[in-house]
Amino acid sequence: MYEGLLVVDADAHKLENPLVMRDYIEPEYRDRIGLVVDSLGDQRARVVDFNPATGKNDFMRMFPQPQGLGKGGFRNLHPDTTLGAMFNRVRIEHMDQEGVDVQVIYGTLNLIFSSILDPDLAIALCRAYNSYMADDCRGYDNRLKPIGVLPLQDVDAAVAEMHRCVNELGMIAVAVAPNLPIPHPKAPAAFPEIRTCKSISHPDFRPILQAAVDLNIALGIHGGPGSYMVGGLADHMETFVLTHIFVQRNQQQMALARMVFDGAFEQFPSLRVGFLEGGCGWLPDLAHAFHEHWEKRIRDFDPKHPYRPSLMEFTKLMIQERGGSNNVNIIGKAKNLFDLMWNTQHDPTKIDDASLYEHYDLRHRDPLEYFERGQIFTSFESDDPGPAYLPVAMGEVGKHLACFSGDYGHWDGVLQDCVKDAAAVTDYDREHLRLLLGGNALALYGERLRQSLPANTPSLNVARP
Amino acid sequence: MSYFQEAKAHFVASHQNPINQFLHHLTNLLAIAAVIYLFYDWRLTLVCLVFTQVFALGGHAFFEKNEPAFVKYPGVTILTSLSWSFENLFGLRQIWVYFNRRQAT
Repeated sequence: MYEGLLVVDADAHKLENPLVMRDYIEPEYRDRIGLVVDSLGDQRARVVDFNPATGKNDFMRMFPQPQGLGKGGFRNLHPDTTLGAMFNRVRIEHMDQEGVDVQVIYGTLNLIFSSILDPDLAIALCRAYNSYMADDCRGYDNRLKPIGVLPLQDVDAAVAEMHRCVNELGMIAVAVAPNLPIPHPKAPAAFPEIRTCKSISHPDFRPILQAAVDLNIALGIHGGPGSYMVGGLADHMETFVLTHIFVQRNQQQMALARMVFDGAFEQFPSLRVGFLEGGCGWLPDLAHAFHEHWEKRIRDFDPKHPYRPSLMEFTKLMIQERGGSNNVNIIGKAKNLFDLMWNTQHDPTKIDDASLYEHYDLRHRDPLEYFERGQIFTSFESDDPGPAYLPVAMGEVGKHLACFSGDYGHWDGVLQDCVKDAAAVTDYDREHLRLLLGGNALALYGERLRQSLPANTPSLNVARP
Repeated sequence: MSYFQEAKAHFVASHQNPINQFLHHLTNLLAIAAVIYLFYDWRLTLVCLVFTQVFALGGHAFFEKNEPAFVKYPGVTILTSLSWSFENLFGLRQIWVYFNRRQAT
């Protein structure tokens, strides 16, 4: 509680205890995942994965990726929160100390599950993680809300696991990766080093989105560095510092853009999605880009009648710029160039190609509406100035988009004064602060969180603008 | 760029059809003739002026299919037109360029 306001950490983390996690993994998969220490002394998950080259399960992989472009982290254990991320007794002490009422808990190891190539192993690990987390967070006066993780490698299994997480394990929401890495069509043999991806909004994943709507739960999209997911600019960075600057926000930006322009929010108007750990300061710029491109390239775009200047005007400008005493040649050259650029053989009005009509089925809907109707949420951490300027850039809706996150358990999270600092970034009015600290998280995670809040929680009205 | 140069560029650009160009060179010759006839027989001047308008407007209406240059630059069009004709030797230069281009290809 902060000055009488509910505080929900919308994206906290668990550091999975390998000794405990192992007990939850089905025996036939136990030896395919383990903990190793790399040459620099950092802990890595060692996964014996399916090898596309041999067709066998003999592909030794380390997560997070220890070296190379897009490398994962090292020396990543936070001195204040590592033990609390493993052991809930310490976590609860920290929550009391900082005034965090509820933590919504995403994992750490689970953030790489969507990169595992063997679907059966991925399914087994997701099931193990979810069971472990449900047991681990049970009790504690309902203050710990574990989030289930889904195996994107098998959509049917993912939907089944979502139902299990919610209906059997009592979870309030599920997490999905922003994308599933797949072979790049130009270099399939180099997969997974060279890769492209299927974004979470891909048609193949629509049953997962449908199931989230049916269950009335939020989807929390969470990426990670060194995970072999497509990470945007991060995939071209050779230091962890540079990788990490870009990876979370690029993965979220890509997921958000695809959700919008692949029509996922259009197909599921009540779907709520949290784009997590990528900050929120970039949101106004991206939202503006969505609006501008929708307006100019979708709503008002007419591929049958592209711009075609008049030959006379074109020639006149040529003469004015390049003409002299002999304008006969200029006229000829201008005519030739004009015919080349706007030739009659390729008359645009006679070309009928579906690829000219990009995102045509979205021409009736301004992407900004998806923000206004409460489908899109992001997170911010305590020292992030982003939430202060969202309303300046986006208007009233800007108050309803960002959820407080302590990023508890991860190296870049903040423990000391995390709530106080978040509240003091600027002179928020009380209603705005209420939304940022807890109201927006309640809107994102919905009734399942609201109905399972700890006792003595102030009731909140989270009406949308 | 001066107003005249701008009007000239507009005139050149709006006369690209060879038949229209021929008609405008003819128009300019008739305009000169009209001035000369003024000293001999004003009725011939009138006939010449009528034909200048028939050729010029007809060239735009039937061949170039655009609006005459004087609509945009009414004050100086006659001067730009004459300048253009003299520059191109009343069409001889255009014929020369046309045949040279044909030979080259």
